[in-house]
Amino acid sequence: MIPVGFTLQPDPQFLDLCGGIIRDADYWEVAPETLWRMRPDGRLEDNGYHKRFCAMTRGRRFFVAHGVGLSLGSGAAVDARRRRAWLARVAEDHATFGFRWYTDHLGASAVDGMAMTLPLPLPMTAEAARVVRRRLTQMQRVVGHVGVENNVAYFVVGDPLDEPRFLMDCVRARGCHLLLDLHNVYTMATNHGFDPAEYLRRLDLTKVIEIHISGGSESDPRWLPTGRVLRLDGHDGAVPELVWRMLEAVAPRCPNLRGVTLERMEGTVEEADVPLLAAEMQRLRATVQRRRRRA
Amino acid sequence: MKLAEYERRMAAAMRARDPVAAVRAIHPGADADGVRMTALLVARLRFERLMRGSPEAEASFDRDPAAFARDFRRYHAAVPPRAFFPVDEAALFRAWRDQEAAPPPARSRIVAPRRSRRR
Repeated sequence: MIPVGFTLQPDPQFLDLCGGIIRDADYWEVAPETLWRMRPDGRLEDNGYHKRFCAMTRGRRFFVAHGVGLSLGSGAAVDARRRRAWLARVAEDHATFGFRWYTDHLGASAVDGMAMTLPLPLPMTAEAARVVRRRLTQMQRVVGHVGVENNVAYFVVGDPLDEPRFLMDCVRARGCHLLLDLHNVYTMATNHGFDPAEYLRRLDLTKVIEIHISGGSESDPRWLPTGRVLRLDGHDGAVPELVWRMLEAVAPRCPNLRGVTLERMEGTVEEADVPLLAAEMQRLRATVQRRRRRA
Repeated sequence: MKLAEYERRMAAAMRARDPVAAVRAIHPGADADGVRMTALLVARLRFERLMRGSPEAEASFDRDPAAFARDFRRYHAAVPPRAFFPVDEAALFRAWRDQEAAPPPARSRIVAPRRSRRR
């Protein structure tokens, strides 16, 4: 059976409200860097959530690491020391959590040594793909199976439908996988005006190790001078029906799929949201089981 | 353009007064709304990092959101985002605010001599 996962967010309200959903999951996704803080000497050490999540390792469930801060697409030498420290710290966490796989986002979240946090779009060039592959090789020295998640970019450097080719170029090595985020495909398709099915058709689905589903919301029309509304990948709302349909269509075609994760951002869950989230977890499990029967 | 140069220019563009012009200098066809939204989200994520790391900043924001937002915009434009963790962002913000609150350096007081102007 394909396991279903849920995000663990370092937020007391999230963890309390989502306790039942967290217990219902087969595995948990954590962003390693959310479990650290930086000491004055620059060393990365555990924060309080590290200990709390560490206590959850005793059981049948497993952990996967899904970061945003390593910055797969940064080539700048100015950031090299930070990246080394980052990976050394992930290695320590791997010893504790035994991550089944470790993924990060396509893009550059640390740019010219600065923390952008939001992964910025990369030019889809051979040089950029080489940088991402090099980073994945470094990640593989820590966790054997690694991957790249297709990201949301609100502007694209090139043709958005060229991204599948670029992604496949990045993950062509053995042990390198694709984390297919269906809400990201949906968001990109909505904002850039392409057919999400066409994007999916261009991917080699044998490379998919994990699928993410989540929801989002629309931007406030007052945010942009044009009044245009963009779909945002906020992980802060219900999973759209189209994303569910994409999951139903794609999951059976991913022969090496090892998990499907429902993601939700901290600070976006109130008590009234919990029944919906619980229902989404149930629907996710049912969808994944149907995939197995079909296969 | 080499990736390192692309990164340097993109980092500057995200905090530029006109991010659309700065990004279009690299990619002439870049979607203006998409660039503005990206720059906005970069600032918003930094704001959230600050809020998580600084109870003082959070209290200031709660007291007067509009005034704090103005301060934050000035901070974001003036100080490169070199902090990766909330506590470090808080330290950067504190240092910037202390500097803003400090009296002008003595040299500038000497260089602005009213008497000499009267002469």
